[in-house]
Amino acid sequence: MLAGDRWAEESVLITGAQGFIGCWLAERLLSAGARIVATRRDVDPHSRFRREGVEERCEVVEADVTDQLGLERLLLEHQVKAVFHLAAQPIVPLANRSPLSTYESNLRGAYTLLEACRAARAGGAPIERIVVASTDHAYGRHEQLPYREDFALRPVYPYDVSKACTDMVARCYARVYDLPVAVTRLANTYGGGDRNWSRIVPDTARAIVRGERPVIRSDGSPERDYLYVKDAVEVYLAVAGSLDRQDLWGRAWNAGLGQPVSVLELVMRLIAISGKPVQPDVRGRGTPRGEIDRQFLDSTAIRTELGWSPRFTLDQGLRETYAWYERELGPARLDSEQQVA
Amino acid sequence: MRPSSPWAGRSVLVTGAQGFIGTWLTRRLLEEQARVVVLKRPSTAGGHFAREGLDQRCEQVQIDLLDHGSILRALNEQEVEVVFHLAAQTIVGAANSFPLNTFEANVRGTYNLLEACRLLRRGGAATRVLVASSYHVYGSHDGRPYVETMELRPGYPYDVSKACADMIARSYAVTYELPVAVTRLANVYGGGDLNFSRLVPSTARALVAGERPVIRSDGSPERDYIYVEDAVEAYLAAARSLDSPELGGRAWNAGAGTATSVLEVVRRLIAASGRDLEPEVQGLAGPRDEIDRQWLDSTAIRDELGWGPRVSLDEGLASAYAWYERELASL
Repeated sequence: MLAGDRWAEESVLITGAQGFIGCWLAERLLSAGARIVATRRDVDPHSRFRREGVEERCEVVEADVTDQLGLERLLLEHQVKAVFHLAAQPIVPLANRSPLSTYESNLRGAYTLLEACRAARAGGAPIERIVVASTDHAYGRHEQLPYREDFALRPVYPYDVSKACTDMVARCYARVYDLPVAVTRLANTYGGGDRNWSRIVPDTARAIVRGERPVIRSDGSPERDYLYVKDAVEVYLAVAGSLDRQDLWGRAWNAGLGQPVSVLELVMRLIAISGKPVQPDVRGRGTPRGEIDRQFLDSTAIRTELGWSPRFTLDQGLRETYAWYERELGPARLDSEQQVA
Repeated sequence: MRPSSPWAGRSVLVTGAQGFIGTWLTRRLLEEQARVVVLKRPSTAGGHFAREGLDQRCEQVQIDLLDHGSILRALNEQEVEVVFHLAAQTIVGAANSFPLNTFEANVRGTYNLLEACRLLRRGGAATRVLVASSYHVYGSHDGRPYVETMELRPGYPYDVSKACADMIARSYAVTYELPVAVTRLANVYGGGDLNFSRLVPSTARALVAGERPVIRSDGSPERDYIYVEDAVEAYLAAARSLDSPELGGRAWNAGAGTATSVLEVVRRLIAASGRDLEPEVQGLAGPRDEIDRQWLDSTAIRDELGWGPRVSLDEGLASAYAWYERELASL
């Protein structure tokens, strides 16, 4: 079946649609003809979701993912057939600073949503697929590389723990309650619209656009696996599609380019793409607390079993990404934001 | 009395004090002259805890573990130095039926408590925490004895809820240097366990009533059993390990180190009762291709903390049976 046919007129719930990846996913599903219900807690007027016209094409429901009855009502009233659970507090330093609210949003939000899905499905909602966003952080630190899906989840810091717990809970719901649930474990995802400035790509791109030196808080050596957001969106669709097959329920799927890239290299590539004559400011303080020094993913399973593969090389992805930040933060935009302020 | 007890005069909160193990732990801490704070319950009438008069000897505070603020207030005002976090929804079947309640009680209740301890410690309090996990967190490992470094591979909601609490607790230790110890105990049995979905209580009840004990499986699954007084000592040892800051964040197995089949436990309990009864083996869940054997390697707690089980299975079952024989008539 073509992806376009699958999603036409489908009622799809996206939690976290206002967020970075959620917005791209919503756009992609809208273009495939889906009807999107998006839950929202806070309102972000600077979000790509609002500025680039995605919001007005979705049915936005003011709801908190820890409100079980609200979610259940929404699933039933909209006769939701597919759920993408992306809502989370995704920033590692914020999780360190406020573990309680991170656990509330990430872990309690996930089990509450899954419970609402279970109840709504028992009550007649036609839920056929539930995709829960985990992350490569769930694995914690392993000597062996690259990470495979059967590795132990050995998280240490609060964000990683919140996601590992979510991951375990989601797979438990698939196994014990025969729910069509699958879990994604994506590499570091980057792309236009990510306004989490504590992350390396947004932070670096913003500095370069402003003509400032990008700051590297580590010594530049930590290596991670990076995935362009358009490829990430295709992972979500592929994993959702996998749930046609009951034998794939409860699976977790890695997705990344499978190549470790150091922070320094990533920054140098972004600088090269920008064509600006700036040099990184390497502060050289080792790996920041709460971060893992070297991690990349084995994505063999999703490639061979679901036919997903990344279409963007790192340079291609970074080029589109930098163009977005330049457009978003360039002189024209900065002037207009100042005028508004 | 032991004036030199490390617990004497210390303010200790026991969550789940009114439960089976909590009652034994509370009594033990009171013996050690600790000042024991427990959660006020709507009614404890009829329970083991109240029947032993423990509610008259403990501070009872209004805490809702799902309300972070209520925990913070109580810990602060009671100047709690040590928390034993035993409160949980512990019934596996109930967890399968109502997973949300189980996740709320076992996971959210735990991180709310840990967060309150973190905040108080940041404000200068000397709070340390023992979190009761369970061998259930390990899941299936092909019949090998569980060691603390093994992957957590939980299957059912109860197991998952405990694995989450276990990971979160250890994360608090590493991330915030909060003194946290985690215990993963084998199956605990003894007087006062009124969860009749469990093997020892249900078998003892049948025997006291003069009925044949029912074994739903084929009797072959093998588990590790420890007597409740040994379990209490494991909690105390793990809590005291936090005197050594480098031991913070550890998880400690505690079990007998042997696996005993369900049939064997029932036969020994029958022998302890002196009754002339035979078990009724229903064989609903077996036999399997592989032996269903779950047991704990307790080397670490033995070598590093000096804990070891002191009560043999026969002694423990005899004590447990004596309790059920004495108490069930009056319940």
